[in-house]
Amino acid sequence: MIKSYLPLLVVMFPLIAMIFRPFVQKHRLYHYTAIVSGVTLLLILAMYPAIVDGNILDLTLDTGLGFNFVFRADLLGLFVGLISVVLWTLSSIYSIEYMRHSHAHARFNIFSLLSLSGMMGVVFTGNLFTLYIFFELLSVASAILVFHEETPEAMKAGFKYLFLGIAGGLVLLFSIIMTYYLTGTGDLTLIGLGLQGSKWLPWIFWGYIIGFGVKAGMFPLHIWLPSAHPVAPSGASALLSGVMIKAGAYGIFKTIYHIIGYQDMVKNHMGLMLPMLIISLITIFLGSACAITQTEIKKMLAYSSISQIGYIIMGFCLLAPRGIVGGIMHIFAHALMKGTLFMCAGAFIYKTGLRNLEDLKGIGRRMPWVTLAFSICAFSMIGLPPFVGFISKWFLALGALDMMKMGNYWPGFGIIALLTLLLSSLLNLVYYGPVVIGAWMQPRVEAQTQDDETVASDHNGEANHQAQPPMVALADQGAKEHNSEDPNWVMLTPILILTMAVLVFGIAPGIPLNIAWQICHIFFP
Amino acid sequence: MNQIISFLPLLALSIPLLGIIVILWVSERFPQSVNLLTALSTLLTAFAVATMYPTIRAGGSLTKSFVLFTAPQVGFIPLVFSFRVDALGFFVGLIATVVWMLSSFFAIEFMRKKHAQIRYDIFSLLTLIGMLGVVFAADLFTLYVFFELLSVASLVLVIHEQTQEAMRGGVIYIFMGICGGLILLMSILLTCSISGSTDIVAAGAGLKESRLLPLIFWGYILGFGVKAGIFPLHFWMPSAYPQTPTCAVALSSGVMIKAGAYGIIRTIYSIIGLDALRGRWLVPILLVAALVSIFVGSAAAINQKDIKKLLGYSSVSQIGYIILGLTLLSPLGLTAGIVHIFNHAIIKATLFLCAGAIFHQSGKRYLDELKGIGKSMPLITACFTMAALSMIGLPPFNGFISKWFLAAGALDAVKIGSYHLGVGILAVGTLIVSSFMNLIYYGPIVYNAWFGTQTYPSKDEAGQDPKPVMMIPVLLLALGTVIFGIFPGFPLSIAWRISQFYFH
Repeated sequence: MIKSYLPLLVVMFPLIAMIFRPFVQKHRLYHYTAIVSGVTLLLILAMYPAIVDGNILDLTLDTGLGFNFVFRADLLGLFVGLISVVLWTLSSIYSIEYMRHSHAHARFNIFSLLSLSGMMGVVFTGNLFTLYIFFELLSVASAILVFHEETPEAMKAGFKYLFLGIAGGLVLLFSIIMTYYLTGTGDLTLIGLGLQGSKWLPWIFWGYIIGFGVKAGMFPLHIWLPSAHPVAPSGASALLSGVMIKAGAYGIFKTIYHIIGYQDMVKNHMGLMLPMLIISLITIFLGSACAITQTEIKKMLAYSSISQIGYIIMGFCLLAPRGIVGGIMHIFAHALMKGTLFMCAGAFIYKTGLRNLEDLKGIGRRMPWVTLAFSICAFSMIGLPPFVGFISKWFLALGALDMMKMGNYWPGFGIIALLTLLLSSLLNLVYYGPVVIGAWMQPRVEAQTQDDETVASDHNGEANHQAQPPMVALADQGAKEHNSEDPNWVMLTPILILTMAVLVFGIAPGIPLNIAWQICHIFFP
Repeated sequence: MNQIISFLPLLALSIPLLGIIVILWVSERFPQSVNLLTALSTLLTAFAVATMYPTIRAGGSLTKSFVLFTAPQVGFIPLVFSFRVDALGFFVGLIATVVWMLSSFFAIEFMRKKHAQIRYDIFSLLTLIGMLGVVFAADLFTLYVFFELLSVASLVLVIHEQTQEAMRGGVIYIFMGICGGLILLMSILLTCSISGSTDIVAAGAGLKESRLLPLIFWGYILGFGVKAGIFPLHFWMPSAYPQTPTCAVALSSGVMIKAGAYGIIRTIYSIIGLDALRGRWLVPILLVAALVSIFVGSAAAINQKDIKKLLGYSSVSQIGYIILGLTLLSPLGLTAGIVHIFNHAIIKATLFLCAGAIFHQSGKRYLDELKGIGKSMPLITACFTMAALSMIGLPPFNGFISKWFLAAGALDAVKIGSYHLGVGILAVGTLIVSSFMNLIYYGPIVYNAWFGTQTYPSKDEAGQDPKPVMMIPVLLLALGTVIFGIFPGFPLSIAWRISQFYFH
């Protein structure tokens, strides 16, 4: 463990940067946020060499109250922090163009930076006290991003989000205080804090799970997610769905593997893990099933996020090495995919004003690059090779089978988990497939084909399926048709960078996989 | 078997990819040249595959791995893309690329001035990559990756016309394809988890003792069976074929369904292995499915009015022949199955390309319109006739060779004790009945084409034989049905060697 100010600096930098914000010209605010995120990214990268060598960077600030602020960067923190800040930077660049016609620019930027600080605090924390402080900061600050549009719908969704976030935070606070009371420590590098044998342990465990689960959008605490994610501006939706729900998943990982500890969990508390595993499977299935019925693109993506967070939690709950690798890998994969998907959906909305799936048919002809990015990420979401979503699904599935062999659970759950994964892939196909196919190829009507069909019906004696005219919804709905083409490079570059990453890390997943494997190795020596 | 490290498999896979890049690059300026470029890249691919022949003939296999990710920990399965071309992979890969090449040359004229040519060509090449990747894959991970590429890329060919019908057929196609792929993935994951290896040869270790063997086996069979179109997983074929461009159907029916048959060979003979399957009911059930497939396909074909649908059902029946050969579990049976992969690819590609040429020249595709077509398009009708006779199984065409060896294989299986005598007789009986049914539905087409009276008012509507660029690929394929009927040495010797390898 090396003493270093870098973790503290990473967490504080977005806050410090706010001092200079008043001097920034109004139309440069989003540039400023992007630059601050970019510098935060560089700071995290500065920690990379030391941490990959196996060190932990650590700083303790004594408050004199018995609760210290501890900032600490370990491999998992670095990994989640890195992907979060990358997405944050790209999303901020994207917002430069996307938010051009919006309002309350200063407020949006302040709370975006506050959320970034909160996220970094959650990730680079060394003890439960610090974790809680930044967790609450993240909840409150990101709620303002949900409120941003100030439509009645947004206000309602924002209140739901805020209310559930605070309530979850309070439950979390209960567990944290109990942990301090029973063990006298909240140090998160220890593996197992020493709660063994306490009769309070189930209460504490479920407190953590509820607290983090609300943030993660885990069933049945997901109810805020499908209303909150779609109403936020698309740049913020990408962050909410791509990054912030991972704070919850990260917390659940910490609960299982740090606070309780793998050994203790397997020996004494399988009764707690079994419901968790089942909940995660329900989350996967329910999210996908609900997404099928959606008619609005961002809402569909939000439900898809619920399902995907279920994958991650399932990976952690399998208590098997490759399950952890799969779960961590999916944090990475899902951030890339869902970030891109939300940005693409935002680009559609920004350029055409359309958000219903039905109206987006044939969009591929007008916005080819955005649609291409959307298609690649949708395929990755389904779990088709050679995209990054396939790699994480592959490891999650192998983790499920490892779990069968390790015998912590009833082996049948391995098969059930495997089948749930495959079924969910299929459901993903059912809701992403038509969007992608419809975007590129809408039913075509030409004189010749109609002749063919007439001939066909004559000969088969079937009813002639009347070919419908191509979708002309855009013209009908008074959309901004004059500029429905690919957005300018400011908006397009982040989307394309992320899409490239989805492809590249699908073909050569070495770097993230190695990190995930090293993290897993800490808990399974 | 000596393995030679070689970049040839990768080269064969990357030529279509280069073709795609070139097409994207020049399509803006020379949109008319893309069809030709596609045909040329498939020609080069076929050449690259053919250059592997000396090594294969000498009994070697070409192999190359690309490690994507590996971890030092024990028991970790490395993620690699690895390719190994053995005799079976070479054989299926060669016939696939050759048929692809001929179909692409055919498409130069056929797809000219059609909409979205560039898209068609790009996805045709992508599908070819998928097909070659499947047959060259040395491990299950690579196999799955390319199998999915094959499913997804070929979807775009299936819905090329973008009519309502085509879209509906495409939905069934992709849904069944992905479902099959996911079931296949389940089996692959279970296999890897049990044996700790993804290599196609080594992955089967330990499966024999596993209680999950039936699940794994049926997972593979369902996954590959959907692609092969074996009964009862054949529904996508008749719904997708009528609306698909004919040159793509020729590829689907002649080549792509063979990826499924190839997968089933690998499943039975190399992944799971004969030892683990002996004395179980798994393969006999598949044999029954194959027999039903033969019968149902032929029976359904009799009632069709659309020639593409008829040929599609005929494929269901013919893929049944191939699966029957594999499930007989006898050296001769396997030989016959592999030879029929080769023969059926040639015959069915000829038939579909003929149907496509007739449609292109005259716009006719229904059987009662084809009466007397032989008078206006004699060459095409002659090719069609040869292929139809071959399909029925008459000598001296190549279909006869497969049928002969299938029947011999069925009796061989009885002799070596794989099956009861009744099964052998049943298989031979089904073959004979199916041949007769083939006669029932191909016979009238051929007869009417030559001797029927044309019902068209004008000469223009009747069409004429197509231009040489369209005619030559069809002629070459039709000649193939005769040449490999009279000189079956090349396919038979390779198939026999493959079968000897698995039966020692």
